[in-house]
Amino acid sequence: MTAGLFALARAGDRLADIVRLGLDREAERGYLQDIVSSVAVRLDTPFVIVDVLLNDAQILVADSGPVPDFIGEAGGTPLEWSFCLPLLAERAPRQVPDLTADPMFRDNPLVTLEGVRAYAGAPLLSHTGHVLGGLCGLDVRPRPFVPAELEFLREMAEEVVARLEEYAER
Amino acid sequence: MTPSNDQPQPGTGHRPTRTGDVPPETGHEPASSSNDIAPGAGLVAGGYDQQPPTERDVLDSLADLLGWPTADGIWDLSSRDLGLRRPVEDSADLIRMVDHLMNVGDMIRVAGRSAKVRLVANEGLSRSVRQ
Repeated sequence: MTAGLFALARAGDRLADIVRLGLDREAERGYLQDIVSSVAVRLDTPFVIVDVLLNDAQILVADSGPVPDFIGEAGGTPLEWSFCLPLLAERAPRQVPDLTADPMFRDNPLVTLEGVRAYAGAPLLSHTGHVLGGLCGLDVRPRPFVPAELEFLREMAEEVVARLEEYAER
Repeated sequence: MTPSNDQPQPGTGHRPTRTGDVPPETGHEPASSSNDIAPGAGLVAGGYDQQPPTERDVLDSLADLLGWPTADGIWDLSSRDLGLRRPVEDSADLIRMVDHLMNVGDMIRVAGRSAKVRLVANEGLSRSVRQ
């Protein structure tokens, strides 16, 4: 499954869309901060991340909560660490209530070393139809997310993309 | 010598009118005879020459930024990618070439950013595991 996801991540037209929006560049994106803050409140998660999936890494373009120093220093993680990776294929909100029980993520260093336990995310769908990355909430305790929370994530992910598109045109 | 068949040679003084050749005290283009101006010099000389840029002009611009070996190497690889023989003379083909170059540049930046994230994150993870 991961190989197929990596192939999707490396599709040239998807990466060109990321370049079009300038998302591969390091930049302050304060205009996303109110969104990640509102997601943190609504989902009651200590971490909220807006991530963009490049060919081999995920980069964090906005976040809420204390990310580990080395991830802050790197500005992201290797692609295979990204809980949002399946969004490339599923293209819809998803959740993993207990990451330690998930075959794809149970050995992920963010789970085994950093203690992340639950995930809910929605895809960032560009107006050209590509999945750019995800908006996600992460918790350090196993927990399910209710459908209304996933719907909220979907709406906020749309707003993230609207702002990314708007600021890319400036 | 046919201009479009010139092979780029560093240090030949073939293309004297870039910003580096402008005397800083005057800010004017240096005086030059017509023999000093490269083919298709509308790209680089003052005035409004209607000559379209040639492959050599584009390569000169690239070489200003990247140096000759890199500029010529990337240009050569791009022409092969597109199945074009050098020198690329047709304007539409030159536009295809520079579009291709821009795309290659974008993807190099994406791949570079990815690789840097992986290197720094993995190094940080190792450090954090050791502590």
